[in-house]
Amino acid sequence: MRSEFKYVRTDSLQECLDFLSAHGLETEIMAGGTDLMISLRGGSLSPKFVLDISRLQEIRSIEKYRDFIKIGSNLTYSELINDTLLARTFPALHVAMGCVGSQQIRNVGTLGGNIANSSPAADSVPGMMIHEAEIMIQKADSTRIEKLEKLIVGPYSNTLTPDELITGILLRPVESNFKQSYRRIARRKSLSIARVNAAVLGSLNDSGCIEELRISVGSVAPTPLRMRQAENSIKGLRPEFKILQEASELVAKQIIDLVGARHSTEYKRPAIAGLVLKCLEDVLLDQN
Amino acid sequence: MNQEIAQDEQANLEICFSLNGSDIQVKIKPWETAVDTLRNRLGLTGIKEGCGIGECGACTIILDGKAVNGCLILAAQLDGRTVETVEGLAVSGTMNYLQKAFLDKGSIQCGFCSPGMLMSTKALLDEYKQPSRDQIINALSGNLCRCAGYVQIIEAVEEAARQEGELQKTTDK
Repeated sequence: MRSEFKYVRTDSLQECLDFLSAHGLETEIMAGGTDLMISLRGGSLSPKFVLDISRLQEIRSIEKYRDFIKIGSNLTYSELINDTLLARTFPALHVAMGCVGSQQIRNVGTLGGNIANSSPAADSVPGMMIHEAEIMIQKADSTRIEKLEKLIVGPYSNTLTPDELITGILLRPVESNFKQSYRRIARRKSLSIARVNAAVLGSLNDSGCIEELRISVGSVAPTPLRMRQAENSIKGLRPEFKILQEASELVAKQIIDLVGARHSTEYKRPAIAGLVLKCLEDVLLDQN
Repeated sequence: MNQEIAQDEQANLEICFSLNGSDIQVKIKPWETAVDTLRNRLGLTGIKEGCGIGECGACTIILDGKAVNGCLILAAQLDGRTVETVEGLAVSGTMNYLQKAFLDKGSIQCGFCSPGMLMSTKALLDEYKQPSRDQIINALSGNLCRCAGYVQIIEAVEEAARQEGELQKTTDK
């Protein structure tokens, strides 16, 4: 049963935040609406108000912020994919955003919306996790910055309160000697939800050993995860195939330990290990 | 009948937008989708609703130059913007070059996906005059054809782009 609601659109960010502080509990925020519209149509969400934030210009810019690049939460995937600075600085995220939905979805969907929806299978989240993303969250009279890893706490669940709005995504750029990779496994290329997705970022030192390594895996646990134990297990080592294989098997083992054995474990364990291994090879073995 | 009137009293939100070049003013319900309004209030039945959840692309319209799923957009969001639908392609009963290329290449079987395919194609060619095959595939990947005529559709887009390119050359001379 389709939900009935009042449609609200404000002219400025401040008016929007004021509205949320007065009516946040009975409001759903609409950015691109590509997930929200389905819930409204099916009736699983029936708010009193739908607050359309898609025209708020204040949260549609890309700028430097301290040692981060700050991405306005309201920019669409298409706009972000076409940005050459972002494509150069965050290549794994660039690929990940290209995997989202279809052209039509990417033309309206936003990074802020992907975070707020907090899907375990969000394509963009592992790509942001490897840049130690921090999320700028505003309400009428204050601003807080929360690590993305801490913000998403479970499937479709996060620490945002009803009066808060994600206004920016802070990503830390890395030096030019770092390499990055994003890969996913899904039934088909477009309009599919990833079964496993992974983003990896890493660098080698002058003697060819692994200096920095960040691995993030999604779709296989209640939230996308950073895999620090696997990262640390091979830092400082020479990146030989066997070493990378061991690290990717450790990632798979940790995830299975976390979510418990399921009927899909037989498939998931080698799928996770294989995907992570490919990302590690992209990042650590192709550096000549 | 009574129910219909009661329902229409809920159509209390007035929006204005540009539709295929003409300014339109219409009263809608706040929870209506763009597909609902375009089909049921404005009679533009070229726009199709297939899945209703943004997967099939049959409802593709062009909003401010970008292809979007009409089923995932609220009609209220059209307010003040520029909307193009398949009805805007033909001029005084004459097919435009995209429609002609689709026909020439045998890209239409049942025809349900065609309006959406045409609008995704138009959005692509408005942005890139000479798209690569990969760009075409990417631009159409949100449009499903269950008659499975993808090859003919992609060829039609290539043909349309080629013809436009040649036409451009002749006009430039």
